[in-house]
Amino acid sequence: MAERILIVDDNPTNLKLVTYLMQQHGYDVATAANADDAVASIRTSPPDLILMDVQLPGIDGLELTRRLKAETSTESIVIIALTAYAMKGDQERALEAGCSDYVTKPIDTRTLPEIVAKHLATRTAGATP
Amino acid sequence: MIPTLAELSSQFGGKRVTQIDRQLRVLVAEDSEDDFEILLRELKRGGYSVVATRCASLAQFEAALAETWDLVISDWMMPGFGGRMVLDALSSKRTGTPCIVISGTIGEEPAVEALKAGALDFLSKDKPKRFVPVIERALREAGERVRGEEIRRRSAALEMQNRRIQEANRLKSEFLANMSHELRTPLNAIIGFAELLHDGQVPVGSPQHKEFLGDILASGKHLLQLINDVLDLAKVEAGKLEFRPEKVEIQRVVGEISSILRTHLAAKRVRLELDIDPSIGELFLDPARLKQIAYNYLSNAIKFSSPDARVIMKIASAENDMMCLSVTDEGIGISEVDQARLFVEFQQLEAGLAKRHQGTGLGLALTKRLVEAQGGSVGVRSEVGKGSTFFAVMPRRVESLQEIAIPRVATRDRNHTKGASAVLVVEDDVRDQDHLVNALAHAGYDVDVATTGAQALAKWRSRPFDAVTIDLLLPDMSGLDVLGALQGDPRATGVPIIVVTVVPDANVLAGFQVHEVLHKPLDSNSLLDSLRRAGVSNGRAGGM
Repeated sequence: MAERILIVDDNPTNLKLVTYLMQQHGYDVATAANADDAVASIRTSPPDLILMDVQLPGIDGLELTRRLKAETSTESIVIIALTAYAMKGDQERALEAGCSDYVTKPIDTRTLPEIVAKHLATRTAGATP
Repeated sequence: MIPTLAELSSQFGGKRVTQIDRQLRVLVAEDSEDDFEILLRELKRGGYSVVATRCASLAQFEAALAETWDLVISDWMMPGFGGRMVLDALSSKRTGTPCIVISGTIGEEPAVEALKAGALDFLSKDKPKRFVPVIERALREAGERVRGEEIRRRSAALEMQNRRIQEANRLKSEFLANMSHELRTPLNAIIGFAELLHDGQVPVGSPQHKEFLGDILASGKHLLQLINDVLDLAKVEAGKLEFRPEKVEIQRVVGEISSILRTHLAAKRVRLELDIDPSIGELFLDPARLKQIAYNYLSNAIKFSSPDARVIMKIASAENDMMCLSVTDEGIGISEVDQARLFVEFQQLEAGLAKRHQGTGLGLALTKRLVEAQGGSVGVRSEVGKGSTFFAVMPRRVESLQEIAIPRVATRDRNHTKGASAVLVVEDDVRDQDHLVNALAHAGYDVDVATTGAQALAKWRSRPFDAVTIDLLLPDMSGLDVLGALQGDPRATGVPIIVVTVVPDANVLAGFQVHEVLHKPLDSNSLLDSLRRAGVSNGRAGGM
C-alpha cells in the first residue's frame, strides 16, 4: 500500500506542484491549506509524513509541528519543513520545533522525492525490529 | 603691522590685556543706588567690564529678563520686593541665569530659603572685598552646570540617534528576509514546474502540461510585478522617482485604467462604477503615477470582492486645491488593528481570505509613498463585513517638471519683506523648529520648513533659497546625507549652509562646505548674526 503524505501549504500553486510531484512518485497524497484543515485530515487518516510550509495563516507550520510532536497519537509522523524562509536561523528553528528535515523553496523536484523516500525508509527501519 | 606684546601692554597702561575680555552683563535687584555703585566699583576693580541694570521692583525685573544676562545679583530685603521674588521669577522663566543673593545681614533661615529657591551663593554687604571671589566662583559653578546639562543633552540626542539607527537596521533586515521569502515563493513554482516539464514527467498534450505552463507564466509575471514594485519603492526612498506632470484629462486616464482591469473585473464578475466630479477642473499631474495609484487601489478592491459585488471609484475635488481619489468595495472589510498595518511593506493580512489572494505585499506601501511624494496623504475607512474605502488626497497640481515636487503648503511668510532672502530651515524637533522659524520670520526672512531629509530635498528642488539651516539629526536620513545631496547640486553654489546641531564633533563635517556650525541650544541672535555675516539680507534697510 502506498505511503500517505500530507502536504500543508497555503499557496495553491505550490500545493499543486508538490502534490503532482509526490503523486508521480506513487504516494497517496492529501492536502491542507491551513493548520485546522491539516489537523482534520490527520484525524481522518493519519499520514506517514508531512511536508509542512512554515508560513501559514493563523497557526503557523512550526507551531503545528510542535503540537503534533507533543501528542502521542501524532508524534511518530515524520515532518519535513518546506519553506521560503531561507535566512540564517530558520533551519534551527524548524529542527527545534521537531521537524526531521528542512527544505528551502524553490524546491528541487529531483531531490525532494529522494529526501522523502530516505525519511520514510528510516522510519520503517526504526519501526520494524 | 602686528603690535608687540610690550606695545600692547603700554597701550593698556600696563594692565593685563586679558582683563578687557572679562565682560559681564549683570542684572541687579537693589533698592539702594549707593549699594549698587559699590557693587559696580568692586566688579570693575576685579577686572570686569560691566554692563549693569538696576531694578527696584518685580515689574522692572521681569521686564529686564527679556534681555540675556550672565548673572543676577539680588538684595534679599527690599520694600515690596525681595530676593525670594527674584529667584521665583528666574525659575519660572527657566533662563538658567545664575543668581547670587546680597544682604546686609542674613539669618540662617532666609539663607536656607534662598539656597532652596536656587541661589548659588551669598554676598554680605559688610564685606565688599569678598564680592569678586564669590562671584567668580558662582560663575564657574554655573558654567559647569550648563556644560553638564549640555553633555547630558548631547548624550541623550546621541542615544536617540543610536536607537533610530538600530531600528532602521532591524527594519532593513526584516525587509530582506521578507524579500527573500517573497522572491522564493513564485520561483518555487517556476523552477518546480519547469523541471517537471523538462524531465518529461508531464505528458505533452495532457491537460496538466498546459496548466503547468500557465502556472509558470503567472508566477513569472508575479515575480516581475514584485521586482517592479521593489524598484519603485527603492526609488521613492532615495527620492529619485521621477514625476513628469502634465495636463491630465481625468476621463481619459480613468478610461485607460478600467480597460486594463476589464479582464480582472469580468473574471470575478465585479461591476466597476465611476463617479468623477465634472467640476474637478484642470489637473496637472504625472498621469502614469496617477494610474499606478488608482490601479493599486482598484486591483485590491477587485481581489477582495465577492462575485457580483460593486467597486466604486470616485474622484472629487477637496479643500486647498487638492483632489481626492477613493475606491470603495463591498468586500470583507478590515479590522482596526489590521488597518494600521495596511500601508506597511509585506504586511499582507494573515486572515485566511486575504492570504489566498496573491499580492506582492508592496502595492499599498508603494501607493502611500507615491502619494506622499507628491505632497498628499493616504488612508482607509473600513468596517468588517461591510467593505472598505481607500483614499488618496493629493494636490491637483504638481509643480516641478522633473523630480518629486512637494507643493509649498506651510510657508510661513507672516511679515517677510519684499525682496527678503528665503531661508530653508531643516529641523525635526518641533520646539527648535518653532524657535528658528519665529526668530527668522520676525527678523523679516522668508522662511520655509522641512522636518525630514526627504522633505528638505524636495523643498530645495521646488524653489530657490538664499540660505539653509540644517540639523544633523533627522528622522529619515542623516543631515550629512542632505548636505551631500545639496552640495552635489550646482544651484547650491554660493548658498550658505548653517549647521545647527547638538553633535559636538566638528570632524564629521570634514569635506563639506559649511558656512558656520552653531550649537544648540541656539540663541536666535547668533543665527541672525551668522546670516548677516554670510551676506544673506532680511530685506530691511539697516538690518533688524
